[in-house]
Amino acid sequence: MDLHLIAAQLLNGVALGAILALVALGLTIVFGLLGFVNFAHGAIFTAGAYGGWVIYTKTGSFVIGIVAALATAFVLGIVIERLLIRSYYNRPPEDQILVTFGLAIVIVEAIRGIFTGQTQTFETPSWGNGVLNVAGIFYPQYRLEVIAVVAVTLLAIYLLIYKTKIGLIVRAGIDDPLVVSLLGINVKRTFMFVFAMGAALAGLAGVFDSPLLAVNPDMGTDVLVQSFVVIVIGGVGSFGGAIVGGLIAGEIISLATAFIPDYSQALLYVAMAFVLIVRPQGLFGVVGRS
Amino acid sequence: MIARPWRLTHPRTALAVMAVFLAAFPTLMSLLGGDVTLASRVLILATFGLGVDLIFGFTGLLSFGQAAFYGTGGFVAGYLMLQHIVPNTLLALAIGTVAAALCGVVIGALSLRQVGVYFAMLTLAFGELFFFLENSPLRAFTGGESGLPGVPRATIPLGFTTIDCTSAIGTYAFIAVIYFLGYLLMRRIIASPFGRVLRAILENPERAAASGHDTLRYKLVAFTIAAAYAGMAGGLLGVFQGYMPPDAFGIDTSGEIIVVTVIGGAGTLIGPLVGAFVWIYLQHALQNVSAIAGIWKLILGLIFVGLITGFRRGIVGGVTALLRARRKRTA
Amino acid sequence: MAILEARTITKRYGGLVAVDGVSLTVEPNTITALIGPNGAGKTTFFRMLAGEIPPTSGTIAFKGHDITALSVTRTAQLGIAKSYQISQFFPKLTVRENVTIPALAARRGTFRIDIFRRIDGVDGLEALVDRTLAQVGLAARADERADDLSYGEKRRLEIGLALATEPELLLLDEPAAGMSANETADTVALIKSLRDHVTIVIVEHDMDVIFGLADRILVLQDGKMIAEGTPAEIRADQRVQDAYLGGIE
Repeated sequence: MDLHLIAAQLLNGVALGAILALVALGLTIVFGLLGFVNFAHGAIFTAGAYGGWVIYTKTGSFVIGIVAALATAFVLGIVIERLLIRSYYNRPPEDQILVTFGLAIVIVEAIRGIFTGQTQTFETPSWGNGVLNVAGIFYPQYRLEVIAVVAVTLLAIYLLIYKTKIGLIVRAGIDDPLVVSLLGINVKRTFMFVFAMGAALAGLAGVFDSPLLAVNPDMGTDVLVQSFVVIVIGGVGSFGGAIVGGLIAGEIISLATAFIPDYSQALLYVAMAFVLIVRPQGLFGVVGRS
Repeated sequence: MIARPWRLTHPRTALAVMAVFLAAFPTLMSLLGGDVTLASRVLILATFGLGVDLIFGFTGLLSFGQAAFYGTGGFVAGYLMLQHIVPNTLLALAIGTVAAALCGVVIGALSLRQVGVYFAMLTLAFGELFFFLENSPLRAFTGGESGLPGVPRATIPLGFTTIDCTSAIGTYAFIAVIYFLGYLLMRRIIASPFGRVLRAILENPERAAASGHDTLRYKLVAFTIAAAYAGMAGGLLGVFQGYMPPDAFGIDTSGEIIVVTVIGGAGTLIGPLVGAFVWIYLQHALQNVSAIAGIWKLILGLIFVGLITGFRRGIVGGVTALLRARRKRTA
Repeated sequence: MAILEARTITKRYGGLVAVDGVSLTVEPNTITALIGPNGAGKTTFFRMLAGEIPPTSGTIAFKGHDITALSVTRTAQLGIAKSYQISQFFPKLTVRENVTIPALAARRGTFRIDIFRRIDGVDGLEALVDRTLAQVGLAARADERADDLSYGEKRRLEIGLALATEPELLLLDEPAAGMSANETADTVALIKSLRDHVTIVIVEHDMDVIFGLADRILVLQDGKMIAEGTPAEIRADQRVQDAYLGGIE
């Protein structure tokens, strides 16, 4: 077996997994904490990518593009939550799925209307160009940078949720909204913030993924479905689960593409179905989470 | 979602109205600037939708993977006809339908123990699985990304003669008869004791089970029936187009039929017909208005979101409620 | 022969013991009451009788058959029906349609693919539905939507849904919960009218209801049975008085 090939594919899997983990984290935070399924998560990913692309091509700076992507997705999240999602928290899950699914169509078609369905090129930033020699493997520099940046982002989110007062309020508000509101904390605003944060993560992943994927209105669909696989495998509502699940999913796709390309995508869904049937709470999830 | 087809109109009247409508539909389409092929498309979607309405509108099961059965029925029937293994159109369609139903049993058995979001995600996963299987490993049979061209038009050999349905209007008639029979059958299913139990599962699954019904088996049978309808619709698509497209298995197809059913009105049986008409006609009509040609889907998406939020019963449900309110006032 | 025999039923949730070795024998055509302060384990015990949750240990026998691990569906088919504390009905269906659902199970078993049958082709269905509606006094409201009913009517529908399965044992979980004095009296009358047809086990907080109806009373506290006997015996029992009057409730 060609060790270099395997090693390169493993790294690919980590890079892919990093992006998936980021997307899945946004999804699982909203799903696990608010009990809300956001089928528009992929559309927000796409919106972030386009926001980043527009600013990047205008300014030439990838970093400003990243900020633009974050802002686009965050604002979009706030608007959606405020106008629509808010009235759905107590509705049955089918309604939540349907409305966010419909929203996804609206967002994607709006993007298509504004930017046409054409695939846009998203140049790898200059500091991402080139190839690094990693222990004898020549590996695209940008992908390594993605892994690094995503890792830092995940750490930052972790600290935010588990080590800050805001994060504590968020976690408490989800566990017992009544008590938290009695303490004078605005639960509605907390929910909105959590939702927007989940959206921001999707937007961030969108702009990171743009040099690797093709930027087009449908780029978010596959990502959405794949992130479902990730949170199912990792466990709904689990921070660690999103990361581990993302890595597992990334590796499955990556290794399968190299060795059994015909079945690479199919294998992912087999894995998801398997987990849902055998251990529905996933690797790190808790049974009975509503 | 309101579902009272067995009380709203006398069965014979409803069927007669449907028959008249189906006969007049091509003309209606032409008057509206369309043609008979559009009418055929509407009926294919409507057939697909009958099954989806059964499981979603009447039983409360939201499946995002119905395209798996649509594609299976279409490709099995199409392949059999194309390769002259089963040149008889009706027989090939029947085999495709059975194949789809078998897939329905398997996927249903694996998925129906879950409910709500997990069920939706499982069906989504299976739908995608079928799509990727069709795309790559089964390329030889399905044509992979190119699909299956050359599916013959419908003919019905009767021994002494053959009914030729190869013209556009002939194809429409063929599809219309099958839709009518499917509609008739579905009405019977809904009105039967079996159908009543499904309705109870929709309203309160725990109570239905506590009343003494094996809800899992009811759901499984309903799911299988829906898969059969999807399979027949897929087969009709191949006959209609002379071609089986790979995206018949796609997630967009699964999503589309849900949107169509909800817009038309879930739990009404004719909802999917109305929704399909709106979906296909709007797409056709707006295409000629260059200014908004690209955004017909956006408009329908907005309508969809609006309906779910404010007015859950869709077009048919809304009209029904209006009529009932007027009847109460004048009574 | 006793119609129901629950032997040393225990339910543990991790370290918490909700029900601790409770035994109950019920004779046919009697009314047995389960009482006790909040948290005594009455609801949990009831749920095990109905098949909603399995006991951690112990056995339940119904007419001599072991039903310990059976599901709610099978338990209902065998002849045990429960009426819930919080009404569980089919909101958008009419009262008649509501009662038809358990009646369909009684007449057709757990499962039948009778997709071609007409609803009036089910033997004895209409008679059972009419009879049940009459029993709970909802015949006049039969064509109303269930969620349009008043609270008292909903509670009666709740009992009707249990009765329509043609049970031999009826479990009533706080049937008079949230009722006015008049409604409670009506409920008591209804239950009294049923005693010749069905065996009844009832959980209640309203002591007037209990002492007016019950043949036997079982008192639970902290998951354990602390007393059992006729109403007179229970009234005189010191432990019961302590449990209720000793500051717990």
